[in-house]
Amino acid sequence: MRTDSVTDSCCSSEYSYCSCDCVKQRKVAEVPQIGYSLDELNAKREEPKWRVARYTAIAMFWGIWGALLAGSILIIVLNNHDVASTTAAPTTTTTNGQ
Amino acid sequence: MDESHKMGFLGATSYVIGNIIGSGIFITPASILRNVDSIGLSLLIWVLCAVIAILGAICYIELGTSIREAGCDFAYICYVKWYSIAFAFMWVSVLMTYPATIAICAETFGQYLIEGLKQYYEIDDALVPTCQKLFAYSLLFLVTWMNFFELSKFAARFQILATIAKLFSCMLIIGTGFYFYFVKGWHGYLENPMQGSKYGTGNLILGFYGGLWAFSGWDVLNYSTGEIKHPKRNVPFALLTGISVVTAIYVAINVAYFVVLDVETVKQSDAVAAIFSRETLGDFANVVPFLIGILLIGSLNSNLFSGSRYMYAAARQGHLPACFSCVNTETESPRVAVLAQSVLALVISYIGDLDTLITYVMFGFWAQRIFSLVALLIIRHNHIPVHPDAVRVPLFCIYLFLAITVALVIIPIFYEFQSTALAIAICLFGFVLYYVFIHKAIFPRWLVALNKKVTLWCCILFDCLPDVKGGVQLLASDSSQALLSERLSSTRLSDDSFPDLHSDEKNIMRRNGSAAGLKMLISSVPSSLVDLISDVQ
Repeated sequence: MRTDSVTDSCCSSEYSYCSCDCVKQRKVAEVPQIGYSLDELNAKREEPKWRVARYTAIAMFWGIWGALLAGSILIIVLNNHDVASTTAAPTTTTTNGQ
Repeated sequence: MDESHKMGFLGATSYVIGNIIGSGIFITPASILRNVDSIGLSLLIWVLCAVIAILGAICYIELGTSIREAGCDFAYICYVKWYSIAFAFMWVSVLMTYPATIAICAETFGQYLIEGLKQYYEIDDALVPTCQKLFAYSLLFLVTWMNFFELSKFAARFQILATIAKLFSCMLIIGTGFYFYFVKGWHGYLENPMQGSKYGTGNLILGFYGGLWAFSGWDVLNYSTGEIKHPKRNVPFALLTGISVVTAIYVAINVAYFVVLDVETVKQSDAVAAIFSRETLGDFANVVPFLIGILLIGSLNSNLFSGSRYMYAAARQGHLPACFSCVNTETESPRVAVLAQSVLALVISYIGDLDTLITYVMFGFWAQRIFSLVALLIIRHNHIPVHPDAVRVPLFCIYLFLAITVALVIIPIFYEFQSTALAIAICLFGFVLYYVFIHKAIFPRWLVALNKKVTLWCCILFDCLPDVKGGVQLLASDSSQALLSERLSSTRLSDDSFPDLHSDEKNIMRRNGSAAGLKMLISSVPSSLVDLISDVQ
């Protein structure tokens, strides 16, 4: 059902309006078709160019996510060491001579 | 609709409470305090925000029962034929309000996570903001991917988890705060509550923005009046009771914060609850950041869902490029719109800090409300025909709420023009777009070709099909007005209606249709919630 209606909206190139609509809106003989039919899309989807584009997009998405997560974890882990080393500085004791 | 299936007073009240209490109470106390600088004044603002919420809820009951078309404020403003204004505010919502809301939830999640991790690691203070942003963005990417697929069962169960986390967090904080106040005798910070108050008009308004953010969702009964028994009596009482309970909870939480923390400590962090738990809960300190993190994930998911559906609905009407109307047929997820909202959230999070983002959201939100209220007044005074079952409210409520709304919008323009300028610019840009593309219908050939090209790319990359209605449609045409009297008297939550900002439960309910996940809890929840669940189904 859903696929049929979507396909129809993609394929049909003409729309009809009833007379009362004509009074209220500009009459449009033809509305430009947007997109492609399901069959056309399936054919294009399998072309090598688009397959590469799709896999590249997915790889980029997860790559960016991994970089974000790795960046935040590295900040926590690495700077933990740095801060710890500074707090381990030895304490100097001064003897007050009399 | 059978009368026995309708919500009673108790069901409606719990519905109100569940929709209002959300992540806001864990985000905005610090924002309010930074604007007014005193404990007493911030508590007073919380109470006054409740009054505003009640007034608004009552006015919107009349709007919702009078104009029963999908689209909320968009439909109300279109009803009086202000198409350009409705279109301009649609642009403000798509480009700023929804993305800023998503950005706020993501960033606050990052802050609570960092506060939790600080229990175990020493993090360089200079790098804390960067780390927060990185965590926030990684979460946003994960939620975006989850929204590419309609994981109904997972989302329903996660929403249950988020609700449990919400209730448990509130009770834990209130209980702990009152324990320290009454048993241990800590109340030094509450003895001079008004000390340090800033009474400047701009400070107060921006403080109200923070409080009203937490109260978002007060218009939830707007969509459910048709499903409530004796609406003229039950709706006002349910709103009054529900918002009063929420106010008591919010004020109690703030009092609990101030029993333990001083003003300066609260002002310096946006993760107030995490600092509170660290000071009071000892070994269990990480329970609160963890619970609130879950809650924030739920809010983020809900807002991303709302924003993407709103964008998708606008594109279906021809108000946005066709590529945003692309839907994956298997999962019925508008993937292009979901990704667009995430990218916009990333961009807008660089424009300002938390307080600035809240100002963005609330300014756009309340500016739109002004026009909805003026539309309501015009409907009343010009006797424009509306749905016969409309619930009427006293006129002084509408005028009073309109005055408050105007103050909330006009004053920040003078005190925080830089924050409001973005919304004003987007609004004016929306007017220009409306005039060029809808009123004049000027479509250059290169633009049509570009639209087709981009739509093709999106169809293939996202595995979607476009779902545009023929031509450019506007809501509330003359013919639909003539049909209003023949409509059914009740309106249930509908898949066709626009999702609402900040209403976590309602959005998840709509998304999951039968709310199958919630049936898991039916046997263990109070009877009022059972009634609520049954009615919503």
